[in-house]
Amino acid sequence: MKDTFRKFDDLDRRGFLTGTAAAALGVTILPDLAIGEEREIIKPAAHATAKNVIFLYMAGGMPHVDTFDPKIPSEIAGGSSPLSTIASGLQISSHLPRMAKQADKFAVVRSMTTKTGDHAGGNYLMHTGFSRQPGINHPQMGSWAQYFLGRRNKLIPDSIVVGSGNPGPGFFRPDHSPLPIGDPSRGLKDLVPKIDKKRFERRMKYAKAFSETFEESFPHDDVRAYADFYEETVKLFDDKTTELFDISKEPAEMRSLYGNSRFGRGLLLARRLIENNVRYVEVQLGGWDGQHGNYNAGSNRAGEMDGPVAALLQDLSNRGLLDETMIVLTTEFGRTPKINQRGGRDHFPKAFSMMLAGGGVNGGQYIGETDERASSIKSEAFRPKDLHTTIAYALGLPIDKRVHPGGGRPYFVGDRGKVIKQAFS
Amino acid sequence: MMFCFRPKSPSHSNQLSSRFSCWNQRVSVVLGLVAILFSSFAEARTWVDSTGNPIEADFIGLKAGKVTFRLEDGKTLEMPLVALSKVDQERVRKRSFAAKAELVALAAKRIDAAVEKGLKDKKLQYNEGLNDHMFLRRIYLDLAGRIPSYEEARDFLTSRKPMKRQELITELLSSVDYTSHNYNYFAEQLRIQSRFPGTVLRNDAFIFWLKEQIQSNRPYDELVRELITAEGRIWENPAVGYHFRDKDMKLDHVAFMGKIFLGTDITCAQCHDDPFSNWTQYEYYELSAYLSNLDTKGPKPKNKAIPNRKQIEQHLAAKNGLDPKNAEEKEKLRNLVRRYDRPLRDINRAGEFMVRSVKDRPMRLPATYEYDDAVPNEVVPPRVLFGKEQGAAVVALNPQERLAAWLTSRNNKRFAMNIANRMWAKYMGRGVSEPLYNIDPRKAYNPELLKVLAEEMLVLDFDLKAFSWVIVNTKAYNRLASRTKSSEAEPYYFPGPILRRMTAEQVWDSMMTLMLGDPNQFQLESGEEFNELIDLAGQSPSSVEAFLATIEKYNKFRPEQLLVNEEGTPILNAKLIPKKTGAFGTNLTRSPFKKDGSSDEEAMMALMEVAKKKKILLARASELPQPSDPAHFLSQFGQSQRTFVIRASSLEGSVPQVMELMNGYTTEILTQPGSKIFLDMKNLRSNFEKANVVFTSILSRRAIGNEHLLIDKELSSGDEEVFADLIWALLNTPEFLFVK
Repeated sequence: MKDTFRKFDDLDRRGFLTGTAAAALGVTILPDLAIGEEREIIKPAAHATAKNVIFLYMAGGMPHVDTFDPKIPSEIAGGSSPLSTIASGLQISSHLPRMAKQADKFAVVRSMTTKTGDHAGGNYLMHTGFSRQPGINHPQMGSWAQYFLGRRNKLIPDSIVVGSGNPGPGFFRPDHSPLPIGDPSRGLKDLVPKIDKKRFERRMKYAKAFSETFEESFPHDDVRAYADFYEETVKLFDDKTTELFDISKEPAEMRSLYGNSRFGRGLLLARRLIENNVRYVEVQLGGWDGQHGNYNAGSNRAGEMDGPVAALLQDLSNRGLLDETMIVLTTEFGRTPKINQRGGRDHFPKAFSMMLAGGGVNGGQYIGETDERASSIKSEAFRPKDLHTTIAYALGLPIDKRVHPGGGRPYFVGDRGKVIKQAFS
Repeated sequence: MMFCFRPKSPSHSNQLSSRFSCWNQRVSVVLGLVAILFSSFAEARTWVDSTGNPIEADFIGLKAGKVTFRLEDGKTLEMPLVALSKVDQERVRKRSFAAKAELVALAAKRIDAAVEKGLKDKKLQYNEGLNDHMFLRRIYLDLAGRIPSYEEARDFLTSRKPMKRQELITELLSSVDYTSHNYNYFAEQLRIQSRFPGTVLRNDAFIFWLKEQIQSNRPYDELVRELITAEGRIWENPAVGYHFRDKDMKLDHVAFMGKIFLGTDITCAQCHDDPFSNWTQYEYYELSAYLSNLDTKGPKPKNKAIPNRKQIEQHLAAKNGLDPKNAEEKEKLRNLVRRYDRPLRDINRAGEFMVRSVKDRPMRLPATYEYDDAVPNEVVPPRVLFGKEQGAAVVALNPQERLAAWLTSRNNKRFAMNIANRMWAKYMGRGVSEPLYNIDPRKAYNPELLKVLAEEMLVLDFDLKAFSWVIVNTKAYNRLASRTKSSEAEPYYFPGPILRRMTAEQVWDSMMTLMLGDPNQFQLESGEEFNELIDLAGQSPSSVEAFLATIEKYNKFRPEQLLVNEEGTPILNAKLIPKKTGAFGTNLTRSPFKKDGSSDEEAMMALMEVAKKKKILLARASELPQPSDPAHFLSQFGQSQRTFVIRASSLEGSVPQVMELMNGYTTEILTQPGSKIFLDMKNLRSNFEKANVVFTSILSRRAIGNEHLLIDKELSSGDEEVFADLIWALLNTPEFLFVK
């Protein structure tokens, strides 16, 4: 690709990148056109404890009793029982034996609540912190972080979502959109052109040649910005970049630590990306629904979650990345504590659990609690917007700053929720 | 220099001399313009009214929905437009448009003078003129919302007709492309979505209705009045789609209204007095008070012919031989009935959604009101934001009608100014006053120009088609786009348009043109099919069985059913075949394929089949689900999510966009042997001519200068692969994406 593009390390090129082109990438002060207001890239607040976020989403409704809020009565416990962990005083479900050994690294929040009992609504709420409103798309946390802190990574996008569709940029500009990856094993392979390299280079050479006249006669910032997006995209196809996304480059023992499930491979990819300066990665574990008539559906999922999450905690900690990387494991709602007549658990948004680790979170503790039947919250309750405010707080984002998308009514990152302060103490 | 295009002389260093040199041409062009228009609309004097009776008369004019004829005896006859047959309504619209040729010519001249004064004061000059291919591409994108097809481009570029530009303009102004393109424009302002959030209703009827209004060139003031005063259910009066959009968010609705119809932003005053402009929270509530009695929920419709749940249960028990007294069979029966619960609830609810006026629901201040001029929860009477209502005439009207009358009144200067400024921005890339949603005549880049535009909007009676016709005939429009970027903060004096990236819809529709030749093959139906299923009051099933059959249909309904071709075949069942398009947009029905089903055809069909399987609907943006899915091409290119009024869409680049152009499905199809571009170059021998097909298809021009050298060198093998690479390359140039 040498001849195809002016090189990045070329001096003019660099000067250019820090100027207009950089503006197009969102790394300097510029009026944000999508938002219609001047904005300024800020530095994270002094209290920031996290630089990165790994967001683990249990799609379909994770039963709290079978994971982080185990109970004793048999009509509630199902096949799960409380299991002591290496953190004294913290018990989790016996379905999570490997996580129990990492329990000093995470905190469990047992007093989550929402009023949203449908999957789509709960999913939206938990991913954005906002209730669905007619005809508006709220951004996810990766996009918020990029909006406030600017783009961190010149080569690859700051936010990447693995196996959960394409959430789009919410009400921010298109370049705030997370990059969606389908299969963690394939990494960028689905995005790279399906033609051989030589031919791709030939195409780029033609494109460049046929662009010259236009680019010369219109020395226009917007035209240049496009040239830069091309350059950025081509870099993504570069062997070096695709390698960042290629988990087969990990040593065999690493791959076996995370396991060969899709979720496990997703977590390994997440760790690899965070290591390479990506700010926000989401990985989903689906299949938590289908528990209405089948208790085992939930407990099997818990088993599938256990190993990879334990591996991630251990691995990040070994690499010294856990301190700056917040791990959030959450879901749209819990499941009815009482096993229903069909031998399963139904939707239960009233009280459920999630897990927080790293990025300043104090491990080995639980926050909030439910009654002995796991069906009502006995302590201070937290809502999805509190989770989002907490993540934003940890990242040092300005949670009190209004943003007026489209010049309309103001929005705040985390929708003015409260910080779960206990997590940090 | 009116209508004097000087394609081959790029510099106009001396305006005066060029004006003289152009003089003769100008006179003949104006006359020619008028002559063309009248000849193309010349028709018999027999008209038919809506009952089928003939009227022998000369058409005089159309104003405020009334047509004036001169009868044979010399007397005039005035009648409502709607009293004519559908066909003749259309004829009248066209005639009244044509009759405006002289007004159009005069308006363009006044605008030119205002622009030129602005330029002269700053010692600036117009940009260079447009040659044929630049004009061709720009006018297609601006009036038809897409690039010209290969045939359209070739025919125009090779035509030697002296008036070909004018002919193309009038052709495009009355094309279905114009409707599609302008629908997108209004859909963004009105934030139209295919479904109404929070209801079971679909919006297709409103979408269809709005396209009809654009097609028939409904005057803008009339259109806005109808939106604001509409009442009823969506299937009774599609215009209620406007109020439904903001169901349960009335205060926001009023703020949106201010931005799009008045260029006035009162948003902030919703919650507090606005320190940056004059609006107080009290004034906001006064304006909103006109809509306080407007309800988006009506009474439950009752229809005794519709079976209730119990009857359905009995029916299913009998039909399936299930005994409700037996516990096991009861459970089975319950499961059978459950299948109908949700559709039954939907159908029962659908009829409740109606826009209507209710009584005694005054606007009250919020409980948090904190200013001294009133107390919280106090009743606020309706009052207009500025100007005044029109005296005694308004007394008989309901509040919505009063609001609409004030808003769209010819005395309300901001109404005309807003739409004039928006239309100018639509064609020039920048309004005379920015931002568009909050204009300030005092701070306009060229206040005189803004004034003239607003005046001409009134002269043309809010005829947006004629107004578009004016703008594309101004000198400023017929100049090359400015070469460098100017931010909105700097004044812009319109030496030419702003360089713009195509809108998301323009890029997509251009891709469809490259793919299908005629991108208008599939169009969205009015949604009647769906509405009949959910209109409870309209149903009279003969039996429970018949009613359940309706519900089954409702369950099986898919929105793609509404996207059909001329024969009414839904897109997912239809054969997708690229069509050759004739000169200036007329379709040739003959398929470019050989009848014997050549391998080319098979290859093409296979590609299109993949599209169907992936549910990629190959139709124009105006016909697709709105807004598009976040992963869709249109969203990647910044189509509005139809959520906000301001900067709702984006023209900014992104990596996923580039990937879409490099590896996306559309590029994949176009680079396959068998794509329309390949078919168009099939019988050509020289590589040079083949390359020109590629250039003309994608960039609306032939290869020039150095490009020949490259073509000679690189395409010498002449195989399909290098041409696929050439197609790919041109799709990935800025010249494809930007409108110069």
